[in-house]
Amino acid sequence: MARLIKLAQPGYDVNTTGDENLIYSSQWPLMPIAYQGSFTIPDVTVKTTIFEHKLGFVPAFWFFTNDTIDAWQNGSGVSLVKDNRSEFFGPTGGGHIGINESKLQFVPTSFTEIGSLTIYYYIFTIDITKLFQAPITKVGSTSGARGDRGVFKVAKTGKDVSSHNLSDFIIHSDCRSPLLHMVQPGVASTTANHKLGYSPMFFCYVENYSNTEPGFYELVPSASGGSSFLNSDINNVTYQTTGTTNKTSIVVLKDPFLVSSSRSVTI
Amino acid sequence: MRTFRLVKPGARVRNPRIGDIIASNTYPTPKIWTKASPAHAGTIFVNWQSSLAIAFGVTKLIDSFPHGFKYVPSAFATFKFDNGSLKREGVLPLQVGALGMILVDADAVNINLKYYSFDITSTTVIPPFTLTARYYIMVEPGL
Repeated sequence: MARLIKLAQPGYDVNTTGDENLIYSSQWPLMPIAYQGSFTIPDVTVKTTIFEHKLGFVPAFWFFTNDTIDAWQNGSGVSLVKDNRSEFFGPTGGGHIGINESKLQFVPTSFTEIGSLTIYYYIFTIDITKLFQAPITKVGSTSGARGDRGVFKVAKTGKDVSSHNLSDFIIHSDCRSPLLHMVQPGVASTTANHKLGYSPMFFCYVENYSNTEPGFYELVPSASGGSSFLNSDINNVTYQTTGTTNKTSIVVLKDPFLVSSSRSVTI
Repeated sequence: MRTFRLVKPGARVRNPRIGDIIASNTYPTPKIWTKASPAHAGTIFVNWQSSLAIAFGVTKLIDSFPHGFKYVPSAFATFKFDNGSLKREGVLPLQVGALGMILVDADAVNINLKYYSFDITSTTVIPPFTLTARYYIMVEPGL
């Protein structure tokens, strides 16, 4: 019989609390990062290997770009403000970033501008070609009224557990982590029926999405136009497309928070 | 060196397959600091009702607040967008027709919600919309 290990946020009863108040559970992964790093593509007109992960499966990945060249636009060359910044799934100078079983790479396209591009990448240990569904225990709970004293923390290999730098830890009870809820592989149009009851964080990967590199999965932007679109609601994440047989994968995360902090802006 | 490792129920804890690892001190995970102020997870409600046209190539700052780190962290946001005729949910960035892009980014000081225009006419009024952006700022670097 497999044993279950759960760790709840300080102040919550581990026996009754919902998904959103668990720091971790052995029923679902914490999005372990296999590799991460910064890489500068010296010339965005040249196909470039960013990192050879050699994991032997297609892993989930994120990338953040520091735009120093042209950004999302309709093909004309206009740059964003050239400040030092990080944008998730940000501009790539017109090229495409994709991953397969062995490497993460950049492929230029006909709209590629000139110059270099710096990205920060995360490659996870999650195989996006393998179906995975975590159970939903429940959402919402009452506090266990056990107080919030004490800290639970596990340091990274080579780091000191007494460190005050939160990035030195893999688990820290002062932090919450996105939790993997579902991996839904498919072919062409795919729906991840997550049943979470709220619109979750998700990422959609499509093999050869830009028709530049067969075998390589790319992140798909939300609400795409043309022949495909990506959308979500409280029960499903849906990728719809026509005219392709490309492999697809939707990765859905459990929301780590019942968010109470809010800001309002009127323009 | 000691190893801390949790694996999926039923998987072997010694020499596990990498995909069976729930947590391990060999593999860090993205983390969101719960004690940050301003909060590192929250919601931004945007009510865009103005008759604004934004010139091609211009970035308009919608909202900004400090993250408190001494480096550029990583951040992303989910969204709900509604302009009356189009309702969409997803993860930013969001392309708004042929006019512009709504995005979230981090710099050395702040987390920013921005609108970047690629309106080639520079004169098209952006149709009113509401946007709910649910953001997450992670301890891990973004640059």
